[in-house]
Amino acid sequence: MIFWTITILGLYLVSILVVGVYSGHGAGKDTESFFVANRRINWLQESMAVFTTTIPAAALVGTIGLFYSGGANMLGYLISYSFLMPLTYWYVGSRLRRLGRARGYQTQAVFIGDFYQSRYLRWAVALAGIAFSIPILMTSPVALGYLLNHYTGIPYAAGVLLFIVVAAVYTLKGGLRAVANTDIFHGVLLLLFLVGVIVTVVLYAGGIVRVLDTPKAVVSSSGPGLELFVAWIFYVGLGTCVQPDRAFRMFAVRNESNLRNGVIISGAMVGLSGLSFLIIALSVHAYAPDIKQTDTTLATGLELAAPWLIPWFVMNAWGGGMSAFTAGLLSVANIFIKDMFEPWYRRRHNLAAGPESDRPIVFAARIFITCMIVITAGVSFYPPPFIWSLINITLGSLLQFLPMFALGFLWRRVTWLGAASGWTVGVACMFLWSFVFKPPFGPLAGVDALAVNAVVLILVSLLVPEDQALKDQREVLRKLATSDVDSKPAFSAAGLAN
Amino acid sequence: MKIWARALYVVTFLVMCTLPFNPLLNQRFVVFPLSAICVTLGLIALYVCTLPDDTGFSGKGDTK
Repeated sequence: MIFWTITILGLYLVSILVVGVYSGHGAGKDTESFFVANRRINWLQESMAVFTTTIPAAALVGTIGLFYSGGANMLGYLISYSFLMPLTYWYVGSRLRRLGRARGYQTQAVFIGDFYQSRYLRWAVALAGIAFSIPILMTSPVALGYLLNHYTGIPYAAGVLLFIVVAAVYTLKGGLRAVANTDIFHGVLLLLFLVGVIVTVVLYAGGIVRVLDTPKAVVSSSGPGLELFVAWIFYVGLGTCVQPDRAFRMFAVRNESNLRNGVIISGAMVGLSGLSFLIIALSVHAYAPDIKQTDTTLATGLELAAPWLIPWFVMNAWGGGMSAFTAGLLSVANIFIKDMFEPWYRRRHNLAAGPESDRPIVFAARIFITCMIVITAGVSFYPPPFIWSLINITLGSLLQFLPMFALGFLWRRVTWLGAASGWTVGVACMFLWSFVFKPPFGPLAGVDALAVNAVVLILVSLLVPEDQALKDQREVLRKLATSDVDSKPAFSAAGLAN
Repeated sequence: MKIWARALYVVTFLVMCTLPFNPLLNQRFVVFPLSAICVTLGLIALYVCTLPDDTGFSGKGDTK
């Protein structure tokens, strides 16, 4: 098995490098091509990107473990990703895509700064986007270094370095275009793997009737099981449209039709994954009901039912991890460069926007990504013990961006003070209920904080009047966000410079 | 057409969300296939809802 694991993973990494480096050719000439692939991402690249970053290595390990212990109570995860994620992603994404095309936005922070005319919100979204993305970035090499070490004996440090170097090479070379094309590769392999695992473990468990003939195939109508069901409905899916590593691709999609197809297909693929997780977890539970460390559910299930699938498991875990890692790298670099470095650099050198002045900015982006990679390697060699807890806090904190985006487009009476107060209180509650007290309702602090955030936003917006000029400015952006921008020339930095 | 699509999306979403309180549907051999059906129908409905009005799926087009 060691031989096959190393061989399959090796072939996979070589293929990824070829796809990434080849498709990323010429992507470094300006920030439009490096960060948003000239806004030419198609539905397949978009849907596979959302799919693979939503189902990373952590999902194959941790989420299947949650389904193993929670059974059908985890169907909130499925509802969240198949109903709320596509709805919010479409609602926010289609508007951000149009605004990005018309105004040249590449990050959410610039849009929020313009929309609410607030430097506080612009900096809050930018800094929080970087700070909260970093833990997600760090976990992939750590987890996959351990996984490779466990199944092949390859030293942990060597596994981490291999992961980081391969991901760095194609991300630095080709930016978003390379990452998007490798995501297609990751996504197709992951889908095939899930189908293969379902067939194998269901047959090994004695058939679908035996698998479903368990109390775990039913949702609890009270107690912690019901709390888990409800909390997951609002937890993961609602956050997708505001998580920087997924959301920055909204700006890159070619047109409305590609975004629509991408959103629906990603919802279908993540939905299929949710159903797969349930069936896999119930099947493993049927023939191995006493797994104590639920993170090992899939690995244990495969070791018993089909050890020949282990190399494919390792390969797909690496693929999911690589997708999440490269998306995180690009989005953090995008935020840092577009929201912080570029405005400062242009002011300092008195440069207008244009392709000539873009080259040093892309160079700076590559330097920044290299620095992030070095820091990630450092953290991976000495991983802090709380790195896994940070993921929950990260997801919950990113969720707090949702009201200012969704209600901003949806509700005309929203004000910048309401958005700023709601977000600040939401993040404060998130930390309070993560570190000091238990969340008042359900197990996930992020969901409770989201409710407080939304209520504060609405109350402050209703109670504190705002200057009419600010409202008019917001209305202009709302109208632009629903207008036909694809038939007009896209925003051009060069054109602006002229 | 779009009104029906919106209704279908809401109904499938509500069926899934109220599953714990629905003893008729919350049964061992029903939950899994029902979830698969609801997710499929919900996504098809959302697709129709998001189509532009000039594709023949809009409420306006239906009345002509």
